[in-house]
Amino acid sequence: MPETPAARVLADVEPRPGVPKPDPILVVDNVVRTFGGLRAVDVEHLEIQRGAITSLIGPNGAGKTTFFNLMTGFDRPDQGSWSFDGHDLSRVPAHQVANYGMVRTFQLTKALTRLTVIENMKLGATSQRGERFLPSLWPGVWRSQEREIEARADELLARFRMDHMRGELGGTLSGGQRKLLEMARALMVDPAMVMLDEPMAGVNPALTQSLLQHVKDLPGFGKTVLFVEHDMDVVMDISDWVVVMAQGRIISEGPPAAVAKDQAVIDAYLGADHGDESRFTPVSFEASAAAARRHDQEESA
Amino acid sequence: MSEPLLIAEDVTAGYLPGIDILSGCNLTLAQGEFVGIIGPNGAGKSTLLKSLFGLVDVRSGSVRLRGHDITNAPANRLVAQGVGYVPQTNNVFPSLTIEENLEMGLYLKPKEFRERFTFVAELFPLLSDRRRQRAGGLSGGERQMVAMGRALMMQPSVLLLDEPSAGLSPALQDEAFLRAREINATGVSIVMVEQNARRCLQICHRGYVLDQGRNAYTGNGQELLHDPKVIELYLGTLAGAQD
Repeated sequence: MPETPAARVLADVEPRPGVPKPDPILVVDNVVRTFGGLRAVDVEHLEIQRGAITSLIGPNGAGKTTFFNLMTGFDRPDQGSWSFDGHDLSRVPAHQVANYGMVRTFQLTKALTRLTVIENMKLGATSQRGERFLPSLWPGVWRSQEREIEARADELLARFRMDHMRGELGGTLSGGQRKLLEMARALMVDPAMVMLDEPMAGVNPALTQSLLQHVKDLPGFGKTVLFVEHDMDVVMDISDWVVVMAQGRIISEGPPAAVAKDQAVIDAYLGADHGDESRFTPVSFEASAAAARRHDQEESA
Repeated sequence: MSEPLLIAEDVTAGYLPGIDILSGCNLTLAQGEFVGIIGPNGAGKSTLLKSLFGLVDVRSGSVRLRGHDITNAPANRLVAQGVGYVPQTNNVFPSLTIEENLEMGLYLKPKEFRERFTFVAELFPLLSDRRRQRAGGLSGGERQMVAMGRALMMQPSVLLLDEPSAGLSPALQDEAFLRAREINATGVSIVMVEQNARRCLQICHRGYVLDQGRNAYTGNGQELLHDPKVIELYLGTLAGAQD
């Protein structure tokens, strides 16, 4: 069990969908996203506790990644609003969301393959003076900022033990190293909240442990973490709080141990027990085997 | 009983060089049997099914049909030998009519169309009622019927179903499962991969639970359905540790 400060604070929160938290950093209200007739996301109310590690789980197609896309401006909902750290982010486009202190990573890493590791890192910093055309012509304007950014990038690379790869091209990194790079790059803007989309997917087991440790360390640096993960052992190990989605809705939330025993969650993963179950039995094996033999005889006749 | 109809033995397979999705999986299918494959995301369920149909590179181990080696055999040869495969998504030709889709399933024996169409239409009356309609305009559940119907046109002895419930509402999922059950009753042996573990285990004779590319548990569907170890596999160790 994670005995973190956040877990202790959340211990008194009632485990039910949409429950208010003592100090929410993200508050979501009535967010709906439909694709044709499918309600991919239909979240009535959700609060994410500041400084905690919250994991978002659910079976395939539950709407987790779509929810991430909505929160970070990569997709637009049909309706609904959400506020982050007191700012209404409902109309904020993706490239500005990071300025409010919310950054995300992707399930499939988006490291730039033909830039070096350190260049990838430096790209993560926002509001760089040299980004504008005129100032870019006078190095004096941006050189000092560039140095600060590089120092921060080097510091983060060291923390993630990637400093020895600083000059290598992004394209030469393994899948796991790209995940690390992406997480480190997300931290370049010094965000209040990091959203990680399946950070462990495709990472070899040796790296998983160190990646996990980096996620666990984030609250210590004052960060809130919201992540999507499929590996339940990972979820149970590092989460202070677990939110479960199924068919677009929040069906359960609570501390890991409570969620794992929630019948609604078990049903969501294994298929629900609903109504008339009597029709769902195997056909008689003897009968189907006999039918198969008849069919074979006809074939050879 | 003699050797089972279909056997996969110690199959190691994968898509990218050096990365194995399956590492030593086993599966047998007796004549007339309905076998279900379940497991958490990324367990290798669909890959195991594809390895039976030559759609993924089998790197070691073997697949045998009626005692003949069919490891890495091309799909068209397997269809001729009585194996049908229904992919999970994008499984109809949207610009063709229902009838044309079914014809595609029988391109090896076009002369038998009328007879086979009658058989398939008995299982799926909708397919004959709307035979001239383009498949692209059908709902998800209707497409699934077209895809199953098309695989049945060749009168296969083995039918491989990859998540027939994918993308369907719960009521339509139930419909698809009942169809699979009916098909099995006509003597077609079935291997079905499913995310809806409950339904899958309810209607199959035997279930295989995969985890990380390996066989985790195998047994009677009903027994597996009530096995806390299976729930634990889906929800992590805490779920199994009931007080």
